[in-house]
Amino acid sequence: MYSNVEQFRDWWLKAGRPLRPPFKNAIHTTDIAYALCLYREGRYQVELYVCKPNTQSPMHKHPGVESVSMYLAGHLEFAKDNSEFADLSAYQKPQANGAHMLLGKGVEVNDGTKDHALRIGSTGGAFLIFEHWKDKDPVSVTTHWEGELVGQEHAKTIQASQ
Amino acid sequence: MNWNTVHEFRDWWLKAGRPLRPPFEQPIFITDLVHSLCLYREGKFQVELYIIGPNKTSPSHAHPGVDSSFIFLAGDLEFGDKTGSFIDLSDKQKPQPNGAHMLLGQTIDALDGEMHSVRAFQNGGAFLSFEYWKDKEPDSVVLNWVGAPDGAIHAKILDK
Repeated sequence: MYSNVEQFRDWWLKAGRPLRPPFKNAIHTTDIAYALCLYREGRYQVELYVCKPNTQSPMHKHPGVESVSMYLAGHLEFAKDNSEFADLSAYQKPQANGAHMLLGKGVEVNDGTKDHALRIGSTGGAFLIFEHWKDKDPVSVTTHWEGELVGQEHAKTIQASQ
Repeated sequence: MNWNTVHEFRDWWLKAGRPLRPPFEQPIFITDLVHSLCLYREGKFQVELYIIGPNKTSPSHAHPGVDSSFIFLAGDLEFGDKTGSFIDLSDKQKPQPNGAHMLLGQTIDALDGEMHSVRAFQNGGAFLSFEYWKDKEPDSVVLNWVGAPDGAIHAKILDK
């Protein structure tokens, strides 16, 4: 059905965005975001993140996880491994149908070796992250994290998952 | 689209491939209890996704002028009825053969602003809230709230 994360993303979107959160490890929380796994099958899953306003993650990576993110709502900016955030302020406006101008826009595939970070503006933000876990069964990229943590709640969530 | 009831809207959204079209205006709300995202809004109808943190309980509350229909998604979540009593779902905290929660897709209604509540245990919880706002344009049921707030953050939002 799919052999890489982009194929999985395209399949999930075309299949009517099936909602089948797993019984195990569906919800994860940090100091800046709550995440729900919307669908998991084998080594693939899609998580939805809803992020608090005026927050930012440190640079980090998810080794062994190939991922691609999709913009949903709010004021979000992603940084690549050069630590520079893309300036998306010009796109903070609605389309004619009332949705955000960036809805559905993707961020390039990260193969798990590159650092990245997230910055959230005053309205909060939400995005999907499609994941292919190449080395083990999926849990959440929140707990499979290399780099400085977001805060104490994040540390607690990682500890609880071990 | 011409939906007459919250159930018609809910059934349409599910059959239409669960369209994701959060509005530019006010899609996200954060309280002491939940992070919410409006997944789709059209006229007086919308569906919000609620993710509840572990070990959190809402006070009994109502959303006047709103017909709500909830769909269970994940976690160890329980809904309270209009009397304030929670439905004991502890015997249903197990997976289906496909790995999903046994309660996935189960529905419960709070029509015409009926009192209700929600709580989650150690795994947190998530549900969809389908809403028909009969008297005004939708924003979030987190704002259209009668009852004690979830906590200090929620109280601050309600005061604005």
